Amino acid sequence: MSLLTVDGLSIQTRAGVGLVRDLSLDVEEGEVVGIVGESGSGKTMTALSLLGLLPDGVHVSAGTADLEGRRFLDGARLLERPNTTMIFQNPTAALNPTMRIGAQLERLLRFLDRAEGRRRNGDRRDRATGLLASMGINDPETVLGRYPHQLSGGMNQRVMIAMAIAARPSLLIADEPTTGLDVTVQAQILELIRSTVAEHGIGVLFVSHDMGVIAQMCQRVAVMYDGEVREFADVDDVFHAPRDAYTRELLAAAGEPGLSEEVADGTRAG
Amino acid sequence: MAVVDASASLRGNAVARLRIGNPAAVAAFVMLGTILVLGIVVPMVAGSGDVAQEYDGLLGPSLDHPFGTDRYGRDVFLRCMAAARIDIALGLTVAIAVLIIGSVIGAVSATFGRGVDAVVMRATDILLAFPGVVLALVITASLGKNPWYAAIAVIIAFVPLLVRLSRSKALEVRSADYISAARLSGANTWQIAFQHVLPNSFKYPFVQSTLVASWAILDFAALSFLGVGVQPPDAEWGAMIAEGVGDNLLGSWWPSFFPGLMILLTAGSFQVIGDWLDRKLR
Repeated sequence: MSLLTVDGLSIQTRAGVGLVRDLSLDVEEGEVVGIVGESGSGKTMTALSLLGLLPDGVHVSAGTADLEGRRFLDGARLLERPNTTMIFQNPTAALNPTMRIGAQLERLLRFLDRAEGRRRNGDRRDRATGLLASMGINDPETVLGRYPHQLSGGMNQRVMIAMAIAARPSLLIADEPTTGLDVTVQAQILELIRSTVAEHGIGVLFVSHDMGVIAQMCQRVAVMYDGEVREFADVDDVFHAPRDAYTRELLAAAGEPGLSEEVADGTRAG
Repeated sequence: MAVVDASASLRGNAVARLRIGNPAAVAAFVMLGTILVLGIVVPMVAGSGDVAQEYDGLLGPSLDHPFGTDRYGRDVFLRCMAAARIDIALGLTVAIAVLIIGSVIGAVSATFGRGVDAVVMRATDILLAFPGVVLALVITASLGKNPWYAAIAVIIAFVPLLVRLSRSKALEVRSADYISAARLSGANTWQIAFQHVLPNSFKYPFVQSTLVASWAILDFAALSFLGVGVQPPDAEWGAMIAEGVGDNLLGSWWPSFFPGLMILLTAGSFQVIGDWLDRKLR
């Protein structure tokens, strides 16, 4: 049975404009599934809808979603908060600028302890230090004393991943987690996400517009265009034998192999 | 992975930011400080000299009486300084109260949104429909002639202004990713309002509150001038102007001029400090 199953998900604005139409996909345990598409294709809206974080004026109009066999989304109703966390595109904006990293981590740990009915107080600082250390941060004590604007984007993203993992989610949603980072840091962060989810056996929904990143990270990928999934298949199949015309164009634009002649000579198929 | 060591340069930055570096602001701080110190020291030295009628009436400004005496033979300088204590304390108290009440209501309103926000905004609409002084006058007149009521009235008149400002900034903060992250980790709306939205939207109402201090002094003086604030024989700038107006027409300008000057200098200083803070914190 799949970890996450999304079936027939549709998202609309209040005015009735469809942003996502009849989207279905699934994520297996320990699997990284990509959603790729251009800006405005609905990939971020899909991710946000699974967390109940859609902006005002946008709502789920149809479809269901199940996590670990439990239905948490049924049409417009979010039945329960799924055991899912998220890492964001701009990590510096995803941390409260008026709080030190340590205070934010400890606040989160206190929250999680309370949710589990534990009242351990003394060791939160140590656990926060341990979490950062497990994210490959050499000097966690120093980082805990810093504000987000004093750290680099890559460092903040490590902190975000630490916070996302601390909640022990069964699904992690990553919304363009490396878009704002330079290439070497991007590689480090991708490696960190990959090793972390492998270690904890977490499923990942990885939203990106970058075919190269998707190819590195994902086992399967859903290609979205204009609110619809055009193709949902193994990454290898999508890259080497794309069935959909839009996928071929996307690959051509990314300069990846797998071009059909039609696209290469400039005529559009379909 | 090395941490970028930015703390040293940031500390230098913070010191540079706190340096005043603006002649007008320096003058405003000196002026306000002088008035405040004199307002505390002079009445202590002079005892009840501000209400004692111990001199000839309407003596012009001289070395003995720098601001002259009023028609009841009271030293205008002593009275101005006794009033400074009340007026500045009132301005600051109102500013702080308005800042706390306004920014909390604004942040909560923006964070909850929908119904709560609509109710709060309509309430501020109603309060803002009246000019501040008129509203304060109505409130004081209906509660009774008492400086405390006047202060409360001025607070009520200025809270909607800060609610609006705080809310508009809080709406911006509310859509930040760290708010989404906090929601995801299970924080409830109150916690988000107080721990995330309020601290991150506090800067703008804070700057505005220095201007509120200056407006509050003006409004409070106006209420006392109209007879519903501080009651004679107690000294207050607005009330002193009211008492001196009749003498002014007959050529004795000092009993009303000097309290007016004090209002101008104090309110002006708060304005300049507000401008300076605005530029510093922007």
